[in-house]
Amino acid sequence: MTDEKLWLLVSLQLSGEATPAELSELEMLKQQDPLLAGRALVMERIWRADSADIETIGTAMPFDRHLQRLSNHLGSPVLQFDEEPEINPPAKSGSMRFLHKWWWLSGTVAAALVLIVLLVHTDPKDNPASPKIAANTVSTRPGSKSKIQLPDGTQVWLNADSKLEYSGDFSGRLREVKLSGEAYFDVVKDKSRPFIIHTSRVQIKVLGTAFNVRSYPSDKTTETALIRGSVEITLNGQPDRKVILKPNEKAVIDNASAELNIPGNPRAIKEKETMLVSAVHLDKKDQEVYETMWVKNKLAFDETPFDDMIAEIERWYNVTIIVKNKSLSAGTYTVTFENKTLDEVLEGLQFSAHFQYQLKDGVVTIL
Amino acid sequence: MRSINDDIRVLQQKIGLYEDMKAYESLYMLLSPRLKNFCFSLVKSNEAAEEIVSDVFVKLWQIKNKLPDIENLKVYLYTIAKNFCLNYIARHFKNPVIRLDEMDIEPVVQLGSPEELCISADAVHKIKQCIKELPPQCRIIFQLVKEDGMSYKEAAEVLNISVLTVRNQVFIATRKVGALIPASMQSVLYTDRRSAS
Repeated sequence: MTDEKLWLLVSLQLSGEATPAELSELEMLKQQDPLLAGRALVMERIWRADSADIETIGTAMPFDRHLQRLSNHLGSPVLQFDEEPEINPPAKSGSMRFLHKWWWLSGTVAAALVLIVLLVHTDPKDNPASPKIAANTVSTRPGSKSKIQLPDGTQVWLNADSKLEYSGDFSGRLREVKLSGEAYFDVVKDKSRPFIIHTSRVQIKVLGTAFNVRSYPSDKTTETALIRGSVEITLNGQPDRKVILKPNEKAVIDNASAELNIPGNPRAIKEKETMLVSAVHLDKKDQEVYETMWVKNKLAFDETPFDDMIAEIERWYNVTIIVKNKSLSAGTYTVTFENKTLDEVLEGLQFSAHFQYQLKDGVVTIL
Repeated sequence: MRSINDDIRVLQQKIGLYEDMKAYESLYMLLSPRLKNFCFSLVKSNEAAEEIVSDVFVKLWQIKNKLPDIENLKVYLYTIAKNFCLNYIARHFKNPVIRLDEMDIEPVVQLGSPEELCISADAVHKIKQCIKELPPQCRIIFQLVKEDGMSYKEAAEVLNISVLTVRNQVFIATRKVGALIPASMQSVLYTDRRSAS
């Protein structure tokens, strides 16, 4: 019982809520029982443990970065912030430092204006592949996948037969990459430096998020499936044609600009259905997103037309598939293969598609 | 902890009356680490907690003209932070639980090293475990009072519960942790302290 009483009084004392009467009662209890008093002392030490010394969960966002976010929120940069991290800023008095920052701000605004002008003037048709990025190129051959980490920490999983180009160290105002093929991006957040992916048809602007981009030159469509965060997609050469995706949505761009009917909720862009927004394909069982299963080495199809599926298998296994039986093209297929050989995949498909095949010298002939 | 509240009061006035950026920065430095731990306990994501704290201070800047009228800015900011966290959870979790007393809360509570406490590492470990296993509401209350130095009244306001509940929960947490503090050798310790003082 004294235990109960002691801990109650100790809790009050340490919280700074004890009355003088309670404090003297606590003193008395301690004097009566030195053992209890010893334990109360340990409790006090636990209570006063300095938060600086151990396992704090990181620290808060640096103030500079917070200011940048604040400026973004307010729509106009009413506040000073550093455009680039200063290299060894010389020690200055407070007001001088602030003056200095203001000066930087005007520089930032000027830089932003110049940039906008440049974009407007260089963007359109004659140069649809947009800016030259180059410097580093990572590419995968058909049949192989790769995972890379960009200089800013962003993770990229590159699917088969794809190519990613990025400039040296991402030191500029924008983090820009160029993609041909399919990749899953997990972009490190940095609101001050947007991450932009250029493909042959669209550019995708992100602030920090995870999503899948599929832009194979041979495909009929360019797809962007968003897993979390938000991205803004703009059609190349049509800066006003843009759409912002929410998680678990995907944008499908018809590469030939032809009409395309995809079930879902066409939002934002209606007149000419070059770009459609629909929900990603979720696996009914475990809610896994089909669009990104390849990252986990799963070859997955969800109501995929036969021809698209064959093209994917060709890339995945680096084979050429010749389909002689044209009637097969009519069906769509929903199936997932995890770590399967080409033979296993083809045998699996035989169950529902009813075909014979021959595999010889990297060429599959479907009869 | 009175002194912290006094500091906050001064900064609050400077920001409210003069839009003093230096004061704004000082307030950010003073409160953001603890606010972040508080948010982390609720959303359990470092990144999200960082952003929520930043959002809280964006909000603070937006309402700076009203600052002189806010009675307890610390409570005010924790309350905004809590609401932002609940919004975040509602948006990002599959099955959002937006009642604090039902939520799983990740405690961020400092203990000190075995050497500092003069108890075995094993005992420290058990205490840590014990704090993790406290009922969620109890954990967050304990954290607000012990780590953030809040009075019972302040914690009660932030969590929108009664002062008596806070008092009881802090007692329960203290008693449970206290039960794990070994009694052996402590008399020695105690006499040591007395002879030293």
